[in-house]
Amino acid sequence: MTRNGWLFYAMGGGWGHLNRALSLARIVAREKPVTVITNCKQFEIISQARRFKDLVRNIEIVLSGSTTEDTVRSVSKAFETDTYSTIIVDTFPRGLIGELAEILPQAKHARKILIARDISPEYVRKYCLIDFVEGNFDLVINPGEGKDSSFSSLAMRTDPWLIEDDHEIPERHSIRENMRIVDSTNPVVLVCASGKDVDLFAQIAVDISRSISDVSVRLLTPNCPQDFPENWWISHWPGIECISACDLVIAAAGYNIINECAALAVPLIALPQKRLYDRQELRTASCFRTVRTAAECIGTVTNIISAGSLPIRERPSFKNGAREAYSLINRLSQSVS
Amino acid sequence: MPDLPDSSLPCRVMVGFLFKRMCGRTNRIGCQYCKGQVIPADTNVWDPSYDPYYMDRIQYPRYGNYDSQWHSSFNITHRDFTDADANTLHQERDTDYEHDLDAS
Repeated sequence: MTRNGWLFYAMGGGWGHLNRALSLARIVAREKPVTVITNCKQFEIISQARRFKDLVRNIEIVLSGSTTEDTVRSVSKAFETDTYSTIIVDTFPRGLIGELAEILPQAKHARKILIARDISPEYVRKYCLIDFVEGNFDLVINPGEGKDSSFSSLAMRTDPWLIEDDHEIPERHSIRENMRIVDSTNPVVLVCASGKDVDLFAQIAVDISRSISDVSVRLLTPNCPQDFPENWWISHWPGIECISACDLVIAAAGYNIINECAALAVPLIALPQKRLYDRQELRTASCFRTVRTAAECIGTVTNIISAGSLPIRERPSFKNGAREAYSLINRLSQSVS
Repeated sequence: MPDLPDSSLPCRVMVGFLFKRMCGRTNRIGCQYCKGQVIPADTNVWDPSYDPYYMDRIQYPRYGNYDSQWHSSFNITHRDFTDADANTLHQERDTDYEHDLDAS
């Protein structure tokens, strides 16, 4: 029996976990069979994106269902298969609803790697996650998170993981065409949001359009919010391509948006949001500006645009930590076998 | 498969001191309430082998049942405090890990 497949556990309501998992999965899939299990609610939208077929090839995506029962059943079934040589768990060592606490120790045949995006230290302490991780994972990788992030003491750190390499990002003018931006002289402000934050950021987009002239504002969300002008709304995957074509980005401080803006050197005004697991405040150190309220955000945008201080950017050039992670994991496999 | 029979997934043991609610967990490892022990979901009998604090719903099976009789000794307006009210308050908690499939 061939045992060389990789299984990715990419559970989490938004598309951040799936995006990060796919950034490594698509590299692995050029050489090995890959399965990704996810409950990403936006998967249907992502899978219909024009770029999806280019970027996500030879990867089996398993949708876990929307209830606790369906999730446990799907995850158990995926982990029962013993054709995997490597299991990659994103963010949640015990699983999103604790279902891996018993499933993972039984998967003795596979190397187990935790992708340690930051999570709440209270959760880590309450569930003794340091002990669990030490006892159940062969390698912990910090995908470019700060030194104060959870599991840093156990982890090997790479650069942030990105869904595309720098040479894969399309030319700026073709992305702008897709974003229906006709006047190339005006600064382009991109407002990004998903999930519970959509209404807040949609309102910010509207307020910027009303209060600042000579800017083009676009809202990037999975679906167009109710009553939002459709010609200002875009749905595009992967979002990094839209970011590369803009002059200023406004968003919360999730893993992907922070690292994508940093890699592309696009100024980000971050309005960090409270999350159960994620500590968005910790990531704002690398932002262009951090604001606390929508009003402060609009004031900041106004000042930046009127000062004309937005940098002129060149073709992006960055390292993708997912490639480094693949090398690290392969080295582990060789040293163990 | 986790150490809970399919029929009891998620765990149906009622937990919580002030606001009782279904546990909802998918396994007992690290559970703050049963500490890994198997507890019949419908029990109303306190077993001293259980931790008396975490097993409060079993120790005080009538606690939190604010039905139409509980206030009879007080001179107050009749208002039932229902499980739905408790659930509403429970949803406001922001540190209930491993419960919400959309939490991240």
